[in-house]
This record gives sequence, C-alpha cells and structure tokens, in this order.
Amino acid sequence: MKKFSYLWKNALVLVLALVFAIPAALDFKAMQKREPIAENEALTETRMLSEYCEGLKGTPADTEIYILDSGVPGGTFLIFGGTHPNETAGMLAAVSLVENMKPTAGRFFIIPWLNKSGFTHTSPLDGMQDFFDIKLDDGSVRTFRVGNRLTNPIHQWPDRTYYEGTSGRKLVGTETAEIRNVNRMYYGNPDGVLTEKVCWGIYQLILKEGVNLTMDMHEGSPEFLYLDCTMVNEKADNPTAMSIAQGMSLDMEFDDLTMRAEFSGMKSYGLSHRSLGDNTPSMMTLMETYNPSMGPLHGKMDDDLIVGGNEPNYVEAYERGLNYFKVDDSGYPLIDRVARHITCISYLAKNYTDAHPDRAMSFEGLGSYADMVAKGLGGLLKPVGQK
Amino acid sequence: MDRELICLLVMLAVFLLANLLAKLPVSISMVLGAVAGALAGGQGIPLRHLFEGTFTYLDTILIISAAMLFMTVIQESGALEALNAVIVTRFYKKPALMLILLMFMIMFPGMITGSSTAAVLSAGALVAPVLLLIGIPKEKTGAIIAMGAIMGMAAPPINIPALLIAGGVDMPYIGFEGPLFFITIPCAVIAVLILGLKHCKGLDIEKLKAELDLEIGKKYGFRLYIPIFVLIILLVVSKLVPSLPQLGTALIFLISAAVGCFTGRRFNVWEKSLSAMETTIPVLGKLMGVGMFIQVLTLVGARGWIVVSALSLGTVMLYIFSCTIMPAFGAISSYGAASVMGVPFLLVLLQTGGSNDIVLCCMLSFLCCLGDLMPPTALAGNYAAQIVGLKYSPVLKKCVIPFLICLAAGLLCLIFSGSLSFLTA
Repeated sequence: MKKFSYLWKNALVLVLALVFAIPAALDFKAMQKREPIAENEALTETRMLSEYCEGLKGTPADTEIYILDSGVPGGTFLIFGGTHPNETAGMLAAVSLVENMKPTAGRFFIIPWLNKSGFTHTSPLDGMQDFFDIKLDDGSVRTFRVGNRLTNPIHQWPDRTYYEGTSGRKLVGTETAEIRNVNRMYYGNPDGVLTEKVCWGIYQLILKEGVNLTMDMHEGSPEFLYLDCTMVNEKADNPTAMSIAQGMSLDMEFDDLTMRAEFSGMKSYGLSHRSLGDNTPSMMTLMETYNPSMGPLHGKMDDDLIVGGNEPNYVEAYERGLNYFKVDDSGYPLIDRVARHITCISYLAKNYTDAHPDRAMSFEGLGSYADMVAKGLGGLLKPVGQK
Repeated sequence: MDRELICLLVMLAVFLLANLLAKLPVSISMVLGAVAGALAGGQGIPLRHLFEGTFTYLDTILIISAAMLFMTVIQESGALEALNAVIVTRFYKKPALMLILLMFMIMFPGMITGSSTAAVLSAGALVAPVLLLIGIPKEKTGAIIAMGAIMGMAAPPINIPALLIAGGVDMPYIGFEGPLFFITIPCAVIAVLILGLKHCKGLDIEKLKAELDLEIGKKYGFRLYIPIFVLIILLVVSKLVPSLPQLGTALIFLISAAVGCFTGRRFNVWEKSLSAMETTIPVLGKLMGVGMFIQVLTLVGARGWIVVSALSLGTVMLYIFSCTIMPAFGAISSYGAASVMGVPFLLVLLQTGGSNDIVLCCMLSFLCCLGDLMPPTALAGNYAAQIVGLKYSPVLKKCVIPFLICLAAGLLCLIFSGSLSFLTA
C-alpha cells in the first residue's frame, strides 16, 4: 500500500510538471520560427549564409541574405542587423531596408537575423519579452522576436572555460560565455564552434563578393559609452575610412542628428569592425543606438518599453549624473532608432560614393529620417498577411 | 505607491507567509512569491519566465550535485575518517595553527568554485568531524564551517558576486585578488579563533586517538586520499593552465568520485548516490526558486525600482544599506543581491571622491556573500547545520559575532576604499 501511494505521488508530480512544462516548451519552441518578410520588387536574390560556410548548412544558425542589385555597376555594401538579437533596432532597420529599398547604384547584401540562433531564446533573469507587436497602417499586426545577444546554448554548449578565437582574443573567466557572441569571434573558423561558423560565413562573403563597405548594426544600454556612435576601422589600404565616416557624421548633424565617428579600439579583437576590418579589404563600420530595455535599470518589460522606448528610470539616473548618455522624458522610440540606423547607412553610402565614384552605391525608397519617423513603424513595414 | 513597489511587497509577503506561516519549503514559497508578483504586475502566469528563471543556475546545480556525490564517496570509502586521524595527531599541540589550517581547508573549494554550498558540502563535511572530535560543540562547528565557506566564496580567484557587479559596469575582472584576500583572510582567521580556540586548549591526544579510527588509514594507506588529490590537481590545473582541455567543475567532481569508488572501503554506490541526491535536492530547489523569483522581479520592473530608489539614497544611507539591506537580500540570493543592488550601489559610490572602483566592487561583493548566512534560505548555514546534525537556528546564533565583525570590516574598507588602492596594484 505504501509503495502504491509512493508511486501515485510521483506520478502526480510528473503529470503536474508536464502540465506546466508542455505549454512552456511550446512557448519557447515558437521562438524558433522566423518572421515573414514582405515582398519587394527590387529584391534580386535570396541566399543562405551557408553558401559561404558549408558547415552552417542545416543548422539553426544558417540565415537568409537578401541581395538587392541595382544593375548599375558600382560598389557592394553589406548591411547586417541581429548580431545581438536583443538589440531590436538593428534587425528592424535591416527588415525595413529589405522591404523598401530601391537600389540605384551598386549592390546591397542585407542580413536581418545574423545570429539566427540567438533569436530563439531570451536572457535568463533579465525578464525579456520574447515577442513584440507592431500595428501597421492597414490594421494588420506584425510580430517580431527579441532574442538574446548570444547563440542559444541548446545549439552550442557547453561554454569552454578557455578559448582563443582566430582574432587572438582569449575567452577566459567572465568572458567564457562570449564564445556564443558573434561579435567576439570574427573572423571566424569553418571548423570552429557554431558561432564561429557564422563569423566565417560573413568573412567569406566579404572576400568572395568583393564587399567594399560593411555596416554592423547594434544597440546598447545607457551605461554604455559609445551610443549614437559609429565605429570605423581605418587601415593602410583604406586611408579615407574616417573621412567618409566623418562626412556621414556631418550630414547627420545637418539633419539635427548626433552620430559621432570613432576609431575602432586597438584591442577590440574579435569584434566585426576590428577583425573584419583588419583581415578584409572592406571598410568596416559598426553603429550603436540607445535601447532602454537593455540596461539593469529598466522597469516593467512590455511593448511600451520595447517599441515606445521610454524608461523614466533612466531619465532619473541621467538627472543624477549616472548615465553618460543623455536620456530625457521624450524617450527614444524604436522608430527613431530604426530611422537613425537607416539614415546613417544612407549617408555612409553617399560619402563612400563621393570618395570612390567608381564604387558608387545608392538607394531610394525609404525617404529621409523625418519621413521615416513621420510614417512610423506602421508605415515603414509592409503587410505580410499576419492578423 | 509605485506599482513596482506593490509588486515587490506582494512577492515578499507571499514568500514569507508561505514559508513562515504555511511552513512550505523555501523553494515552493519562492515559486508562490514569483507567481503572485507576476499576477500583481499584470503579467498573468508567465510560464516561460518562470521556467527561464528556474534554469538560470543550471551550471551551479550540476556542480553542487556532483560535489555531493564526491563527498558521499569520500565518506563511505573511509578517506574522511583517515584524514581526521592524520590532522588531529599531527597538529594537536598547536591548536590555533590547526584551526587556521582547517579554516583554509574549508575555504578552498569555495575559492575555486565561487560557491559557499560547494565549500560546505565538500571540505566542510571533511573538516566537521575533526572539529567535533577535538571538542568544539556542534553549533560552533557548524558556525565555523558556514563562516569558512562564505569566506571561501568571497576569496579569489572566483568571487561570483564580484564578477556580477564588475560585469554590470563593464569593469574587467582584473586586480581583484589583493582586496579580496585583504578582507577574507583576516576575517576567516578571526572567525575560527573566536569560535573554536577556547575549546582546543589542553587536548588529550590519547583520548582522541581512542575515538579516531586509526585502522582504516593503516589498511588502505595513501591510496585512500587519491580521489582528493585527483580533485585538487584537476581543479588547480584547470585554473592555472586554462589552455588545456577543460573538464568543468562538475565533471572533475564526478571523475574524482569515480576514482574514490576503487580506493578504499567497498559500498553500494547506487544506494549511497540516491541518498546523497535526496539530501541535496532542497538546496537545488532553492536555487531554482531564486532564479524564478529574480526573473519575475525584473519582469514586473521591481528590480529597476529597487535600483532607482537606491540611487536617491545619498552616500551615508547607501553605506548603511550596503551593510544591511544588501546582505539581507541574501535571504533570497546573494547572487541576486550582487546583480540587483551591487551594480547601482557601485555606480553611486563611484561618484564619491577618492574612492577606488576595484576595492569598492570587492567590498560590495564581500557584503553580498555574507547574505548566504541570512535566513530563511541561509544556504551556507543550512547545509553546515545539516552536516553537524542540527537545525540551522543554533548554528546561525553562533555566527552572529563573527558575522558582525565581517560586516564592520567590510563597511570600513568600503568607506576607505581610496586608501586601499595599493592593494589593486
């Protein structure tokens, strides 16, 4: 009898666990489905990153590359968002470019979900949302994932307690989890861990396609030093890189937008702007905007914080002199950050073309910063049949 | 009243009611507190968040489980009894030195793993019978183990709260050894001498020998200690030569345990492993509950509220909160105290002129570590009490004086961090 009740008790616990675990598992599983993307007549071709790194084929890290070729000879611009999936504006800016861009010179390679595995999970203890909604002008709703800055440990585990990537960056102590950070493992390794294969794919893409200019879109919490800032790698074979970046910065200033240009850190080993800049002919840039949902001070996590971008806690922290970055009551809505990324890309292309007319690259279809902000995300994104 | 404050109060109230009134286990009480907080915060029952928080400390859980299996093997094989005999017969003439060495032994696994629980379960369980044999009462033995484990957790090279705080302000974890040794070693020595020295005067070695099992050591000889050496060598080598293939702390414990199955007395490995896991499951449950609790705290904005409220305190209040609320938060989680309070406290204290950022970070982490003595969870105190066969309240009572000394030392170092800058060189 005692054994019987013991069995019943255990069976009950197991059933109860399943009652909770199954819906939770389905919830997590839902994050593995990529968002649809709207059609754009200017889209020439879609490839997978595995075309540049065989080892990615069939893995959860293989990701789409959208190619928009103007047909007019010129330069090649590689743009990617989603290096860190929780830095939402980069991914949405890339999606907006794919859906709206009409290239007029050169070719554009755009990757919205660079660390695709990172989009399939969120960061423990950060209380992050998995999805957020954007209501479009036609009344339909598009849902996007937030994700984690690192590759999903289900796809790459365990983190080694010591690792030296191809850049020479030694991952040890607090940095061991960074073995799952795409922006620490450049220029990658075709035989390395999954995250390194993503990096290798990008490295090979740049080399094989002769990419002239690359933009890696990021965001940071207000504690971070380099916000509204573009990092640029200047090297011997591209001495004009900083002047191009400063031209972009000046153009943005004329639009009343701050976007300073800074040199890549000399020891930023493994980061895209440093390692890809050092090892490929492409001019490497990386841009950061402020994302209030990422810092430790954030309040309740909801669509309002992610899309509205208003976090009073950071306003208070700024007023007490604890943030380097100015945060005011008006917040920093997602549309502002997306528009800022796109405007920066547009001016970089313009200034690059001015410096290298034989490698011209330009596009239309998105309008100015003010136009995009006036449209809002509901007007910028296209309907895809979601309700 | 702020909505976030209401959520926080609801979570704490439900947790305390469930634990203290309904007498539910701490882990279940935390789950209830988290669910209540999510409901109060308008998040419904966010299953995904509850599960995500639960799995936060998976690595720590694996290490604790493996450490527990290792300890069981060491006990059952006879290595523990043999070690007791050696230590007592070699050092009984110098009781102060003997106590200090035993304290360092307790600290060692905490220093390597950054976990007070691992220290209590491994070295703590090894040393406890020795302390009891030399005449230290059970409650004081438990207190010595708990204090030693906490000092080990705070001592370098691995201090997880310091890592969490440093990571939160983009500070590299470099130069922390000096300040951490400066605070932990004297505190550990003072604690063990206060608690144990008066019971170690005039030890009668013949009487002790009669109570010690001297035969097991003679029968199996040095091979009894092989699993302990395997453990130490693998742990030390993995830290000193990180470029070698890494096994991970959990696997190192398991390998050492496997070795121990063949080096001494024979026992039923399956049965003993099951019983070891039954003992350790409540602590694993607490860790899972803590993860869930903090996840919901963040989700509903209560963590942000705590941080911003701390910012408006002013320096004096911040010092007071650093040595009261921060260790008290250890009742939920000392890691949680570091990530929720440590980061903003450091940011505010850095604004005060003449401070040293690394020393500040070290001292805040030290104060967070003391939280592992805070009831009702009291991770270190709870397990130490279990090892000496007591409830944890008498053990915690004996910890009060050394705890207050540690608190005062930590606070002084926090206030005069600038003067301790030389330690970071």
